[in-house]
Amino acid sequence: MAFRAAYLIVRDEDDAADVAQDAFVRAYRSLGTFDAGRPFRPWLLRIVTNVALNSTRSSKRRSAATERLARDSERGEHEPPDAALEAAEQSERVWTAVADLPGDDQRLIYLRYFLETSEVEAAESIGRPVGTVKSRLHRALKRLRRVIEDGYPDLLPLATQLLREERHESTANT
Amino acid sequence: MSQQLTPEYGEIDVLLRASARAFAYPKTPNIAARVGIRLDEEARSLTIAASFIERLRAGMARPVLRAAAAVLLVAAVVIASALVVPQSREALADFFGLSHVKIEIGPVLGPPPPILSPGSFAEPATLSSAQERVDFEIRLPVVDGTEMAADAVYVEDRSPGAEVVIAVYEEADFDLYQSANGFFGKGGIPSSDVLLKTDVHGYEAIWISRGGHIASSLDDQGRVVVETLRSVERATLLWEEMGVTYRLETSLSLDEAIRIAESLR
Repeated sequence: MAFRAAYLIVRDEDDAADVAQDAFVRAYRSLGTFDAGRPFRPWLLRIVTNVALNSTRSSKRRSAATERLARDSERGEHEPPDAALEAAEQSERVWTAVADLPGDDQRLIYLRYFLETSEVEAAESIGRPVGTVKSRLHRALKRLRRVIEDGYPDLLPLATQLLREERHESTANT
Repeated sequence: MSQQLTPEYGEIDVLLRASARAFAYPKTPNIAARVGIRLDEEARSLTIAASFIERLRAGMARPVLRAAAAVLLVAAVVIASALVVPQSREALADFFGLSHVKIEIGPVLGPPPPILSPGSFAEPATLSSAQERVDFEIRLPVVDGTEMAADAVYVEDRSPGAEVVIAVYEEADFDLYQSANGFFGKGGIPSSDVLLKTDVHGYEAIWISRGGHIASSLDDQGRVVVETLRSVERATLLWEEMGVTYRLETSLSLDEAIRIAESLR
């Protein structure tokens, strides 16, 4: 979980390993300040995501993931991708769009969607009440929509189709 | 997760969920082993340092070790002197990595400014009226799940766009400053031994371990707000989180200051 959280933010495998390692060492040193009455995972996630966001702030660089995406896109012009590859590529493009958001928005989206933490855990991880998580997440989605409209407009028809399919399935099940 | 979202954001919600499902993470490396090695190395170097100091103390009578100690002392003096030249100050600021905190090392030159309590340089406010005057979200410490009400709240706004919210906790012995711009500290910070690099929930932080220095706020251009220059009697913890710079002035220990800083909600 710590490595994955770091990877989502720093977008490079080696950097993510360094961030996770650094975060564990900091957590170890800060154990004295940890409130044993509270859950451990959000506390650790908070440290990991803080270290990761600090690390990206000081070193803005073209990520390995973006380069991989560019390579995949070039290759995609010659080879018809299969469904799994296409889904993975779309996933990486959405990930790249999320990276254009402010750090707070990125963190919330990664916590709730990619790491699948509950609202309560996400709230513990960012040190805010659950209500704030809800309102901030809504604002983050609003900003992400704008980023997608401007930079990745081809993802919108896909999103519409996915929503339609989900609603169709839910109607069929009821 | 998406039940309360409008269709417009429902699309983004469903797109994110599909992306998260299809996302290919690299294989997780053995972080635990790396952490173990690093902690072992740190423990070993501390042991080596402690044993070196012990041996140095024990062997001070021997001429060779006396000479070695003299070399170490000269090196320490050179480093301390280097810290007062501007390039070194810059390097030190880089080392601490806080973009909205400026620190100048050196003695207090000339008569120091007065020691002022927030009530004498900032306007009294309520938490809600202070919140209306700043763009960032004001955060307060939480103890046992309950937000600690401040004994008094002030807003310092000597320069447009440079509002500082100050929550005073007289009983608990700390004042918490919050600003979207930052803070400046100078004088009375004789060397880097008074400064400690630490962290608040992973965010880099600076601990000025004693009072006797001069502090002021920075405006939105990063300039010192001269009207807010004052002497500080207590230790100070400075850190930045998501665009807000915090300054905790206290007589409490570093551990207690960090505990307060990490409880902010």
